[in-house]
Amino acid sequence: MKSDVRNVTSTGSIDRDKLQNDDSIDIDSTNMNSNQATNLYTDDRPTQLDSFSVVAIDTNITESSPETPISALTVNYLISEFRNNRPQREYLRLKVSL
Amino acid sequence: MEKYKHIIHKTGRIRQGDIIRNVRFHESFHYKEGLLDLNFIDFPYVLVLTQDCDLEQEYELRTANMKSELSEAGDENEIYVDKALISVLLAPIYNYDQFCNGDHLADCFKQIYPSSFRVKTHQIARNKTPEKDIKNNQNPRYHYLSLFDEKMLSESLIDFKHYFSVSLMELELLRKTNYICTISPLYREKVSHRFVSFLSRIGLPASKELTANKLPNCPD
Repeated sequence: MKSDVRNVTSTGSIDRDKLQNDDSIDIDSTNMNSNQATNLYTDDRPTQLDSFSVVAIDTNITESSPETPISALTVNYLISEFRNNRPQREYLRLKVSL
Repeated sequence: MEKYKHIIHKTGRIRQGDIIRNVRFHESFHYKEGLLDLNFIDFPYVLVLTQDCDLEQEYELRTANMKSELSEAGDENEIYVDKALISVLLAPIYNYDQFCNGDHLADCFKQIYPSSFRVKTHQIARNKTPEKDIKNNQNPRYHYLSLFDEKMLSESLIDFKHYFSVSLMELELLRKTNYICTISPLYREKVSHRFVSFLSRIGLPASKELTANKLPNCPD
């Protein structure tokens, strides 16, 4: 669910044009699949670390939960996810240069 | 115990009553001597509490109206952002079984306390009066949420002591992939009304006798 934050290797400014597009999605509640529900942190997600350049990531971080496979995100998966997942506190330490 | 109806909205605007999965609360952000410490809390499901008219006006400001205002601005280049929002207010949605078992916050607070402690909340005994009150939304702190379509969301609960905000832009991006559904207007107003009522409660000094006799499974 969260571990791909550690894959951040570069930063950039937020693309405002992208944010203003009304890219609607059509979710069929009876047939939800991986096309509609994906992991939170995808590659095209803008990072908030605009003013930092990440040069290395401290790998000494406690793992919390395995990354959710996208292909498994069916309705049944979502039900099971909600039954089993709890709010998780995450901690990241990044080595950065200004 | 009433079941709520939901709607699936096809447009990308954030709406009051939206249920969105995997939303991250940015707890803290510290930079010192080349090290950046980030603390987050990841919530499996959240409900949007911000007023829908505010969200709609903000969206209009950024889309259709903004385009027309920009084209009519002429040489002055002014745009009025009176209705712009900074953030969206969200309430975490907890799994009801986990809540009753007292372990819904176990992974959220365990890092704060020594590992020898088991972090939990008071268990709620099933079919007893406190649990019935919660399920019937008679305990002002909690809102029991159950949709007609349990595929969307199984039995769940909102704790009005827990709420946070995220950037509207971030949430709009997230909505494209993590939107589940929206609870229908009548029901979302009920949640909203109970939330503001709890938030605006007047805290009176607790009576020592009452506090001493309080049942542990009767949270307030």
